[in-house]
Amino acid sequence: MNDPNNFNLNSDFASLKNDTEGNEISITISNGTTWGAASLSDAILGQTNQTIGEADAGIRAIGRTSQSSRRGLGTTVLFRASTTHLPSSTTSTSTYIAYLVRTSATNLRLMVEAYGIGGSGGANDWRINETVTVTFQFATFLSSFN
Amino acid sequence: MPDFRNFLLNTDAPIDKIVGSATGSVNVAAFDFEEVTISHGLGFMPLFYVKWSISPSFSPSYESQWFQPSSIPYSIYGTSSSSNMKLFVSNNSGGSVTLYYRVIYFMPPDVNMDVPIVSLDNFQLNTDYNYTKIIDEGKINAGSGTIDHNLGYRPQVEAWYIRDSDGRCLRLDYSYPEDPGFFSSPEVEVTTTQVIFRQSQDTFNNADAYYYKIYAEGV
Repeated sequence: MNDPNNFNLNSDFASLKNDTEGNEISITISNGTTWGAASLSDAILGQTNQTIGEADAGIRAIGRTSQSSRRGLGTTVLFRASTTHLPSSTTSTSTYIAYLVRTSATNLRLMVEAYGIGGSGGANDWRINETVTVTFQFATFLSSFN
Repeated sequence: MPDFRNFLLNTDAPIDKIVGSATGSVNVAAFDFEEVTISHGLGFMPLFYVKWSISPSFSPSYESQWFQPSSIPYSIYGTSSSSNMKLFVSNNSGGSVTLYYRVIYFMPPDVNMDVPIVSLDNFQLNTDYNYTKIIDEGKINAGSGTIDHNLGYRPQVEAWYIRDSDGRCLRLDYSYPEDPGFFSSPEVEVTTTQVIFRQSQDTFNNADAYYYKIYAEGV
């Protein structure tokens, strides 16, 4: 009989082996950051790398932004921040996305992008109006496929 | 209750046990979409993780996500039912692409049945590594709810929801804390004392129920 819920530990089944725990990664997008067709490609507003772990692994994360006191579960956080659309100078809000990527076996990258807005009107035609910090606390576990 | 963080393994606390897996690839034409259906044969609706890559080496690798960042014009997210796993694969680039995926399945805490033995690794258990120890798991049969854990720190948490529009299971792998709206999903907030589940404001993504696992380990 092999019902895994009947066992706290059962060596018949593979399990998730933790790689790292208790990590934190942050990035701040400064007030005045601009992007557009000839500026930040693909509207990547910022990215930062962190060496982590020893092998390709899954990520378990809790993320938040300085715009929110909530800590959302998952490797992706979406949020809104105000922008001024140049050169027409109409104030608007845009959606931003922050996410974690395992860029190699031992490196993890936090990226912050403007979601769905590439800036097609010309160089630096979008500008952030307030500083935003994105933080993820995360742990990683080894891929069972390796 | 002992502090399970002091143990790699502790027979008083369950660990996750992988009850199945799937791996494969899918080719998607430029600016197109594919739906991959995988029969899992488990006989119940499994909880799951999906990981994907543009490389068979899985470097770089991405967690399943509904949202498609502009710098990565591809995405995969999954849903499960009692008979199959479906992967929704999109390609928003001007060229065709092959995406590689890996799926692992877990038995929900309210299911009890025998399953085949699964060996994915050289070691099922290896004391060189820590194992996240589940201190609370269960199901919330409502669109919102709160679980008290009172640990004094933010624990690792995994959660899935049952979507009321089709009864399928989705992993809560993103959040939308600032702008609940058209693309929103149910949310999970983890505090030092509670795990709070909030209903989506997008009716397509309303949750009928949640599965959750709260681990002794912090993030």
